[in-house]
Amino acid sequence: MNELSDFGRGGIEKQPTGIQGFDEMLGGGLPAARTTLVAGGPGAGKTVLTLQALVYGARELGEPGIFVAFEETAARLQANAAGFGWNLPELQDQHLFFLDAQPQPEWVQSGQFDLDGLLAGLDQRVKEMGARRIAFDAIDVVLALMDDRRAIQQQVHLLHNWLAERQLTALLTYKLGASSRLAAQLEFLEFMVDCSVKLSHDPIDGVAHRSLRVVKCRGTAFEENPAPFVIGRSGLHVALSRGHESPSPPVSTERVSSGVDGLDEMLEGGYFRGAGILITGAPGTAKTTLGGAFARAACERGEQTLFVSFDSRVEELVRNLKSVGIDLQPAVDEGLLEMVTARSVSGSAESHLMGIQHATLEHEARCLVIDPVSALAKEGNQRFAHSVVERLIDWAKNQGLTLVCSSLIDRSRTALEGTPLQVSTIADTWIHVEYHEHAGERNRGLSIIKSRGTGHSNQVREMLLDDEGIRLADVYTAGGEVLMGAMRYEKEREQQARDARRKKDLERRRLELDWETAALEARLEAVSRELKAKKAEQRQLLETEEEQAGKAEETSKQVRKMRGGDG
Amino acid sequence: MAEALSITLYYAGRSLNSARALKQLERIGLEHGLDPDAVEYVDVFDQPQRALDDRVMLTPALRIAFGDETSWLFGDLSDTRALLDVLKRASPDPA
Repeated sequence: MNELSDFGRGGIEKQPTGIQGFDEMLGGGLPAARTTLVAGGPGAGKTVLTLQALVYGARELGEPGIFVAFEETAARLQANAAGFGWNLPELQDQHLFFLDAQPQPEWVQSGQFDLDGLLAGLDQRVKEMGARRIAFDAIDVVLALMDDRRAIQQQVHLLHNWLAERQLTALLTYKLGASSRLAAQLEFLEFMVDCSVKLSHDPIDGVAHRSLRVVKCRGTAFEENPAPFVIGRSGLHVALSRGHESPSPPVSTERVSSGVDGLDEMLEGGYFRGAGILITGAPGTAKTTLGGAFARAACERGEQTLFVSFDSRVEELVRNLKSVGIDLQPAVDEGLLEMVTARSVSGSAESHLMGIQHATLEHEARCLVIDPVSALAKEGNQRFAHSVVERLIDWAKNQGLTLVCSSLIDRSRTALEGTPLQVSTIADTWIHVEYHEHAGERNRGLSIIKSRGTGHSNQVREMLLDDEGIRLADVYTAGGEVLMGAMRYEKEREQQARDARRKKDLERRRLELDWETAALEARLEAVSRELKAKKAEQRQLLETEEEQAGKAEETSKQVRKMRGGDG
Repeated sequence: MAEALSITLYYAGRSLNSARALKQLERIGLEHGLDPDAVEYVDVFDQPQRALDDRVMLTPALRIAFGDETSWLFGDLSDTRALLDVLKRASPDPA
């Protein structure tokens, strides 16, 4: 499939660094056989980036590399690398060579010098190893030893030519400082190199954010906007809004229960598997409970589930949910449900995202609840939170995870103004819970604002919480309005009373009819007996008449006989 | 004293800084009666492995070993005072 962002790429051959997101920003990787400058303040991640690019080249692409360490010792670098799980001893020295080149304190300077000695030694090593990649880490340390600007430019030129002649893909890292002398150096370096990247690690409203920007990359299109990055357990991860790493799983038509029967009905069967669901609402509108219901339903299906709670302790959460009939403890004990808690103020949105991803993969979760995702947009994170949440939903989709995020909405805004994060556009299903104030009551009303790919109820339903869980009340309307709370209750009672009355009426009528029928049947029986009797009497009468008539005939015959036939 | 002192100059072919250093060392050696046999000259372009092994990053570089003590000087040796300081420390009683 073509991506719009693929156009305008190409031209110069690229060498991937294996750093997720960074290669994509550069249209494939570092420009091959050219020099890339990586500048940034102390602790910005320059060394990790450089080391990672070299390790990746040596291990995955069979491109031997040389790491010239001007600042940290090789031993220290190797210890750091081990922390990222990069097994350096396995690569050394045939594939990755470290050269300790830190100026020693006992060195005494006497006049001008050059880098020839270093380059002569490196030349030897490059030939022996067939090195393709080389890094000069903290080149500023050496440049700082030089007195004048001309000497620096000369040496930088010398180095640049040396690299170009050997067709090495090079990385130079440069520590940014405050002095203007260094600024002039940097300007010259930036001018000379083909590709320049700046790393920053700045606190914004008290939260440290790392970001990376490609300043220039000659002869190729690149991502010009800065991108946030994190240094995680396996190295750098640069966060691009759209990752192309893995193809998306096929779109599912399978439904999974929301854990609330009435809500499943409203959604005509539940959430879609693999969908991103957003639940918005003011504080206390039972967003967490909806998340908990979903988690329990997932665990009842036997699916591994991760529940990430910001700023709320797991024990409290379990206790609170239990009070509304959602007992998560058994699922936790069984190992199906993993509940983790995070402090929203203790890290950048980016690092939280990374933590969520790690925890999800580790637990092999299929269902994920983030409560609330708006915690990522707390002070210091607002600028980045949207992109982070967008990537979270994107990533969950790519992993085929069903994701339920709650999001806190300021009560002064109306729902349709959108969530503070504006994530509603990327969520598949958006459920909004709000308090309806009417007739002196506040009741929770749940509505589905949108749900892609499925029909859904457009009615606001009253949400009831009791010790048996969440229930959505049946809809009672009056004057075109859905009734809630006491008014709904009244209406409900009225309806029930009417129903009861009608039932009683019917019962009475049935009894009446029964009696009437019985009476009629009894009468029918009596009449039919009477009829039988009459008929019998009638038959008897007839028989008697015939008999008597027969006797009379006989008598007259006898009389004629006796008179001698003359009659 | 003279047997214990060993001096190595690492230089890079005919580069300007190296040429200056060679000249300076020769001059100072003569002025201070340094034993010419005590000085070893290493061209890093001819012996790159040696440069790597001895961790010579910057050229020209001068290594002065005296007993357990080793001193390094780098640069074209135009700052003669630095060189003399080191030599003085290496041989407190120069001949």
